[in-house]
Amino acid sequence: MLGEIYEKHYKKLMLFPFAMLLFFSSVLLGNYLNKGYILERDISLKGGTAISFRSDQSFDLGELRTLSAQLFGTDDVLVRELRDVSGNLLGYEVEVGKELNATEAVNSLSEALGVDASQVSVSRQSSTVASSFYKDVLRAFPFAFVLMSLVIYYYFRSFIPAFSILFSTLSDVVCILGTMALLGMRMSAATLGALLMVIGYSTDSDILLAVNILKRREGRLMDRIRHAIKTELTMDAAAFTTYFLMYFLSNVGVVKHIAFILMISILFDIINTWVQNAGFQRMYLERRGR
Amino acid sequence: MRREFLKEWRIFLVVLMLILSLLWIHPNFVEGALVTVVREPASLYGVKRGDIITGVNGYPVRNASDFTRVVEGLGNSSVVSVEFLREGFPYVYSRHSVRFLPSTKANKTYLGIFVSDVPRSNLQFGLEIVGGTKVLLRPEKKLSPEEVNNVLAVLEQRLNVFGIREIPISFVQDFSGNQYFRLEFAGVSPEQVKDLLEKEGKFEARIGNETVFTGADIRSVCIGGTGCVAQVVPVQSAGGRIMWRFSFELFITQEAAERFANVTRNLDIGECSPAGCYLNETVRFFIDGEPAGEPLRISSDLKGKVVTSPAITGVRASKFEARQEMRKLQAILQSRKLPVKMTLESVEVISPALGKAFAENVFTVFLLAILGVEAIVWLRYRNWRVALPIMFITLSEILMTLGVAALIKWTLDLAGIAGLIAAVGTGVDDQIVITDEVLRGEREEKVRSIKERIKRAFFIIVVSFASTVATMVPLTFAGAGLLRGFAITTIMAVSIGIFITRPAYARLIELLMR
Repeated sequence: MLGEIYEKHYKKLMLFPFAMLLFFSSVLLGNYLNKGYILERDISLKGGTAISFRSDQSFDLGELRTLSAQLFGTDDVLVRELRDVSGNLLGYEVEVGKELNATEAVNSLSEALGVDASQVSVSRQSSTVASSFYKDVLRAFPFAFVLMSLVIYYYFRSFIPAFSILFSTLSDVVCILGTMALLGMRMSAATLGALLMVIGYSTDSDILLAVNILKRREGRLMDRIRHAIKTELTMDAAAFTTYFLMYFLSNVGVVKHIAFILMISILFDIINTWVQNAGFQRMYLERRGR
Repeated sequence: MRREFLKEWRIFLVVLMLILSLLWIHPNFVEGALVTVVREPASLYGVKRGDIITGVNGYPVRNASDFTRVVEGLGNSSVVSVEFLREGFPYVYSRHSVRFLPSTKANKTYLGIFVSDVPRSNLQFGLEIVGGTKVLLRPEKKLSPEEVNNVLAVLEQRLNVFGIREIPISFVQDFSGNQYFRLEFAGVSPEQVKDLLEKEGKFEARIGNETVFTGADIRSVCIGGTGCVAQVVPVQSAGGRIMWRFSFELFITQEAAERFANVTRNLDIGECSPAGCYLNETVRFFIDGEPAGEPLRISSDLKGKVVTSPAITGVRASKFEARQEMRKLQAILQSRKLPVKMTLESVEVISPALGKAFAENVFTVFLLAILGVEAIVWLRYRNWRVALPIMFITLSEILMTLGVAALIKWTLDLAGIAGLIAAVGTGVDDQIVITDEVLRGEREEKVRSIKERIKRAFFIIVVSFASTVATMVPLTFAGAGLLRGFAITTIMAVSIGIFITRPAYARLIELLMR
C-alpha cells in the first residue's frame, strides 16, 4: 500500500518535504526578524565562562542558578546536571555569559557550595575569539558545500545529482536548525561540527540513491530504489542506535549535543533523501526518457 | 600455496597494520619514573631521556612522586646509585645502574634528572581528559612569519628552562587573519601558567667567571626586517665546500659594552684561521644558572673595544642548521621576557577528576554503541558470516586510527573522539553497502561476478569518502583550528577505512560467501 503510493504518487509526496522546509525556514526567519539571530549562541560562540565541578552532593538546579547569578552578577546563567551511564550524579555545569577571572570564579563557587576547588574545571572564552571563531566557521560552510558539490559533479558528470544532493543536504541543515530553534536550544561550536558531520552523512545516502537511479540500468527503476532504501534503512538503523546510545548514556555535553543533532538529522534525512531527492531524480529521468 | 598467500594481501595488510598499531600505541606495563630532561651531573654518566628509573640507592621507584620523595630524602648523601631500564627494542628492556656524585642546588641534593610518570601508552589525550590548563594568547600586533617563529622559539626556550618539556605550542591563524598562540599544559594550574609566561628569566652572558651582561642589558635582538641585520648567507670554506653563515645584531647598553671591553682587554689571542683570529676565552650563555646554547668565540678585532651592537655569527653545514642555530641563540638572548606583548584570550582549566569520569563515560558509550550496531547488523542479516567480519573490521579500524594517532603524536581530545565515533559509523555504513551489493547479486543477477558487484559497491564508497573529506578540509582551517581535532581524526579514520579495511572486508565477504 505504502509502496504503491511511493511508486505512483511520488510527485504529490514531494509536497511534504517542501512543506517541512517551508515550515522550518519560516521558524528561523521569524526568529531572525524578532530577535535578530536565527539561533541563540552559547558561550563557545559568543564568549563567557563555563564552570563544571564534581560533586556527590545534590543541588536544586533553580537554586544553583539563582546562586550563580548572584555570585557572578549576571542573569545570563545556564545550569546543567552531569550524570554517569547508570544515572549517578557526577556533578554540575554552570555556564555564565560573562568573562570571569578563572581562579576567582573557581574559588567563589567552590566556597559558596562547599566543593573542593581541585574538583572544579573552568573554561573562559573571550567574546572576540568566540565571535571571530563563529564567523570563521560560518565561512567554512559554503566552502564545504562547494567542495562537496564539485566532488559529486566529478563522479556523476551531471548537474542534476549535484544539485539535488546539495538541495536535500541544505534542507537537512535548515530542518535541524529549525528544530533547535523550536526546542529553544543554543548553537555551540559542537553544533557546527555536528552539522558538518550531517553534511557528510546525508551525502552518503544521496550518493547511494543517485547511483541506483541514475547510474544503473538493470531491472526496474522501482526495484533499484527499493534495494537502495533497504540498504539505507539498515545504515540509518545502525547509525541511529549509535547516536541514541550516545545521547542517553553520555554525560559529556559536547558528545550529547552532537548525538542529538545526528539523531534528528537521520529522521529528516530519510524524508529529504527518499521523497524529495528521489523525486527530483525520477522527474529528471522521466523527462529524459520522453 | 605461495601465490594463494600473496592473493590475500588485503587481509594480511590489515593484520600487519594491527600489529604495527599495537606497537605504535605501545601499552606500557613497566613501573618506574620516566626521565624527561637530563642535565649535569646525571647526563655525564649516561642517563638519557626516555630511560625508566626503577630505583635510587636501593629504594624502589614506582612512579614520579616516589622518585621525588626518595631524592629529597637523600640528605647530603655522597655517592648515589640509580637503577634504570632502557628500551632498546619495543618491549625489550636492558637493566642499567650508574653511580655518581650528585651536586647540591638550593641546599638540596640535585641529580639533574627530571621525571614524569611512565605513560600507560603512547596515546596522547586532550586536556579535557587528563586535566590541565589550556590558554590562547593573542599578540597585540600582527606578526610577520619571522616574528612568529621567534615567539615560538622564545616560548619553547622559556618552558624548557623551567623544566617543562613537550608542551604543545601551536600558532594558529584563522580566515579573518587573527593570530593566536595556543599552549596546553597537562597537569599545570592556571597560576603556574601565568607565572611561566610572566616570570622574568635570569639571563647572563659570561666570559670565564665574569658576567659581562645580563638580560636587563639587552636592548633588543635583531630578528630580521628593516633597520638591522639578521641573515643566513652561503660562504666558501677552506676546503672549497659551501657552508652557511648566520649573523644577527645584538643591541646592548653602553655599560655592558664597556664591561665587555674591560674583560676582553686582558685576554690573549688564541687560535687563528684564514678568516681571522679569536680570543682564548668564549662567551657562554646561562639561563637561571643553567648553560644554554653553545659557547661563542670572540673575534680578536673586538679585544678591548666598546661595541654596543655586536654581531653574533656562526657557520653551519646547511642552511637549515644555520637558521635553527640562529633562532635558538636569538631565543636564548630574549628569554628574559616575551618579545611581543600578548593578551590572554581564553583560559581553560580542567580538573583531572572530572576529565577521568568523562573519559570513562565516553569509552563505555563507545563499547555499547558498537554492540548496538552489531545487534542491528545481526537483525538485518541473521548471518554470522556478515556480523563477525563487520565486528572485526570495526574494531580493527578503531585500533588502527588510535595507532596512527600515537605514531604521529596526535592528541585525541573529546571532539576527536566524537570524530572517531562518526567515522566508525560511516565505516559500518560502507560495509553494509558492500554486503548488500554482494548479496543482491547473489539472488538476482547470477551473471555478474562477485568482483563486479564489489566494484560497484566501491564506486559508492569512494564518492562518499571523497565528499566527507571535502567537507572536513575547510573545517581544518576554520576558527583558529578549534575544531581541527574533530576534522583531522575523521579524515584519518575514513582514510584508513578506504585504503585498508574496506578492501579487506570486501575480500572477506567474497571468501565467506563463495
